[in-house]
Amino acid sequence: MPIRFLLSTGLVAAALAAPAAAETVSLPDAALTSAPFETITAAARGQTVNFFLWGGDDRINAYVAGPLAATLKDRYGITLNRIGVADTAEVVNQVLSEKEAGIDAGGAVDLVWINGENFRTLKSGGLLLCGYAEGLPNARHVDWTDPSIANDFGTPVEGCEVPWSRAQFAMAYDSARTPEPPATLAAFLAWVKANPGRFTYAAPPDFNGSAFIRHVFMYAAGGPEALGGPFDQARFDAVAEKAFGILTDLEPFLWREGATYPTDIAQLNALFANSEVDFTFNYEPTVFGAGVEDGRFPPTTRSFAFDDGTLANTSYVAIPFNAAHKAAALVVANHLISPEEQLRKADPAVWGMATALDLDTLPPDAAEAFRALPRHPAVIDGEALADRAMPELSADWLDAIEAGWLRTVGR
Amino acid sequence: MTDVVLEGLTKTYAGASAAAVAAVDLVLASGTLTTLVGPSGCGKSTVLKLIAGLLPPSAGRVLIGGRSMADVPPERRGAVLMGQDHGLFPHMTVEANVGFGLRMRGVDPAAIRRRAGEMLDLVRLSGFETRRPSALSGGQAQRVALARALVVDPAVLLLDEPLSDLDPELRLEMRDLIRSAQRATGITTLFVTHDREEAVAVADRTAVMLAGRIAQQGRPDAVFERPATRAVAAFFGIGNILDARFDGRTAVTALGCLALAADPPPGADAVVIRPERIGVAAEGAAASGGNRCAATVVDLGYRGTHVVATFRADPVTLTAAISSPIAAGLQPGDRVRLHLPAEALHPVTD
Amino acid sequence: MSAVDLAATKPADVAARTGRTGIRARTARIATGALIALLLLPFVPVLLWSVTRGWFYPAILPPALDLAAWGVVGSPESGIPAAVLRSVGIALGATVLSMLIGVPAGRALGLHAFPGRRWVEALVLAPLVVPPLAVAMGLHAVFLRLGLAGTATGVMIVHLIPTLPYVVLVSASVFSRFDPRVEDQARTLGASRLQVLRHVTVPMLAPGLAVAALFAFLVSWSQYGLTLLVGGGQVPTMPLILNQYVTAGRSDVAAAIALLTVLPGLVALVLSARILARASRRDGEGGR
Repeated sequence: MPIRFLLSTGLVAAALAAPAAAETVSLPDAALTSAPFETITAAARGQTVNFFLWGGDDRINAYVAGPLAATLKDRYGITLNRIGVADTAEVVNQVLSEKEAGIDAGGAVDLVWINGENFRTLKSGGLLLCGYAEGLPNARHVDWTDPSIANDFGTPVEGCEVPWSRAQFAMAYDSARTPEPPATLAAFLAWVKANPGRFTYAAPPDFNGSAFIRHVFMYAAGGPEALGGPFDQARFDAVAEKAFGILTDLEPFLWREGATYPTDIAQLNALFANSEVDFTFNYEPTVFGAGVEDGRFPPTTRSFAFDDGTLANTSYVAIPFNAAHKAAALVVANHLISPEEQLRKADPAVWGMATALDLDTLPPDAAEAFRALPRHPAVIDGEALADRAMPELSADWLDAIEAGWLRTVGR
Repeated sequence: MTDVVLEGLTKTYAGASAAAVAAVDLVLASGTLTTLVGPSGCGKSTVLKLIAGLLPPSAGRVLIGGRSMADVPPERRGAVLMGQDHGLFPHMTVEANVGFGLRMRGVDPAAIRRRAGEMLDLVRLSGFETRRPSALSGGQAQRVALARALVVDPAVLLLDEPLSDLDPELRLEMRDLIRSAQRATGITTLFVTHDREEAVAVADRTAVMLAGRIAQQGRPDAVFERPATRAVAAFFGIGNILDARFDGRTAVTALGCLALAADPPPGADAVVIRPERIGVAAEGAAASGGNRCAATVVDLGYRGTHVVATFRADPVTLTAAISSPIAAGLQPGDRVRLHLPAEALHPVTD
Repeated sequence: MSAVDLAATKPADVAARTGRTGIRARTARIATGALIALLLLPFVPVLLWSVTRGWFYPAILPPALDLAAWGVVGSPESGIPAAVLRSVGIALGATVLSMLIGVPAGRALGLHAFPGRRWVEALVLAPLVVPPLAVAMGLHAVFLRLGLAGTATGVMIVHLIPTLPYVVLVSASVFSRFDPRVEDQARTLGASRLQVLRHVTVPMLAPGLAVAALFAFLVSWSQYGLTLLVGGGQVPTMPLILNQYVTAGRSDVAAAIALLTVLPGLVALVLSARILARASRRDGEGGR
């Protein structure tokens, strides 16, 4: 092997091996929750925040690595390092293995986009920095009493994460194929039986498929109220029989007569886009607009919500207990809920994800700016969604329903 | 024209209890072909490596053309090694293989081509220039290897079992080619082999190596016919070894007194006789003279050109190579008289 | 067959012979073509996907050319250009490291018989039999404490688990076919140590060792699980980014990344095929 080749690869290897810039300032955890924010901002300057988030959407990637990172750099001297992951559970595993390895400081993850099951795992394991969220200067624009903010899939937030975006479940159809989609879940079920083979849903544990099943569950229960509060086996059993009965009855009318289900939402989206089925759905309706723009969905795609109600959830950012750059992570979290950044993120041209802020706490013109944001024709009107919002079930209910589906319908 | 002298050449490998080569003194006269013969593992290949400079000696020295080789690296000794397995460079054409040594010496390419062509001509492989070694037969490859060795006009040619990988007919052909090329070029040559016939057939001189030592050296026929020791005799396939006490030109053996043609050397304690020199006659045959004894035919083994007959002449067993017509009149159990001619009886030391 | 040969042969003979060889040559060409087509066919839709969007069934052909996916791949925000460099750096580093360790090990295995050699061979092969992830799980905890987790260096080192066996095995076979006595003969023919290395040893070993290096590069290049585990997502190599877009259903960007990911594989394939063809021409039939 030529010496020159050895040398040059050696240099590459050495460059890759060079350790990251040494840690500069670090504040004790207690100070992070009590110190004046100016102190934290000062400590944060020069730090790099490793922001772990789902990396499958180039618009989100471009927004985070582009304008968001640029603003943080300009304003706070913080370098935002976007780390895309295919599944947020990978981040949970990372923090868990660090905990097991005794890495109580200097952990890899500074900030993570998270909610639901992943949040519950980290919080119940004591693996998150807590108690700071409501004290952030911009936290005043958040309605912490709103149950859909204060509870993340039934797990009390308790200052362990900062709301970033809201999402609501919506159905999508191709207006060129289905001019008049059914308005209620009951009508929808009837439509499926009348149009055999034209619908299917992604099987749990797919996040979106699981949400669709919960809609049927709530429909069977006669509304979200029947399933509120902590998990109760008796109440579950009462509803489960009916709900899974509906889904079992539906099975012969599904795509491929229900012999197989798409295993993830991307497969269902592809089936929809290729006219094999007539509906898809998503817990994040801006996806439909983005999908039309990036060619995943036909341009005539439209979305709607069932009149009987549609599930809503909030997604958050959280800071692990052992984050290496907590001060900077706090500054980033605070910036993410600034009205200005929330407005930019809500712009469909940028990302289009609904704000987590309570518009009533904003000055009228600022609130108006949110209301005036353009909407992609494929994306359901935010107010139409909000009118039909149903609170999410707690994670225990969620687990029981997924397990029940696998036991009865998805055998 | 260069002679090679080995003086007390010794090699002991690290961790070995005995020397692989022990105090070898050997002279390869200029322009001669010497065979070094011995059973495998006797140290003969080590001698080649010591001469070539591929191994440093533990003691003693190698002189080539009168010059000590102690500090001369292999590439400057002019001693070319040609291995058992042809050892051609698989990534080079035949021509590049032959020209290798000249190329290493920085000879001009046109001259290399010309010389390589001449050498291929010599080994009768003209037209094979662009072939790869993999496209050659075993005999052709060995001939290329010979051409590759000769092209650098070496002072010494070291042949390490060059024929052992070849078929019998090819072996004879190659042997003759080596011999004629050696005669034509006059390159001092050391030819290592384990094959007794090969060793005596091609050589000007033969040295027998046993357990790291030169047991005997001399003209091939002398070594073959008159082994100096029991071990050399055994190596050359002489099973007829009779313990003896000597009284002048008489050897006192278990078969009685046997007359010798010459005085025994000091220290001799046995006589040997090659199987083909034993005479066989019917029991009652009118034969007179000494060195005869009665024997019984034990076994007759047909060998094509001759018959190997085993006789019991109490208390010893003798083996004789006899012609087929004689053997035809014999069968096991027959009584015969054996004749051990005085000029064929050869005293040996231990 | 040259024109002269043909002219010297009887016409009928020529017709028969060219007919036969013609059919054989054509069969060989068709077979080769079919094989190439079979290998390349899956890449046709991938290539099309990468330059289009909104291509739905039942449309047979993509509706329009659209290079947006390549725009994403080329943009610094997507992190893909950096990931290409990172992947190349890690794969090169892993290749160099595994060659430095694996070639001497392969040499020992290939040239020398020593007690316990079978055990050493089994140990070397173990990572190919045991899922590397099982080994890496334990290693991850160690790497975390050493501060190697989440670093490109750590990823490079953990890639040695799957690359080393290939390098050791390939170089063992290279050395087992190498007869060191050839070097001795070259010395006595007048080559200095350096000349032997340059004209004999290296040219004889290089093709095989180059193939070993290519294997190591490709194995490292295509690692997913180990990179994810030890890199903790912080060392996004091409397979990781590819997976992000595949799971998101972005077939256009995924296709573009897939083409980029496959590229070094194809280059390596062509290179190693050439190297091996050269070597086999050399070894030929009847060679040792």
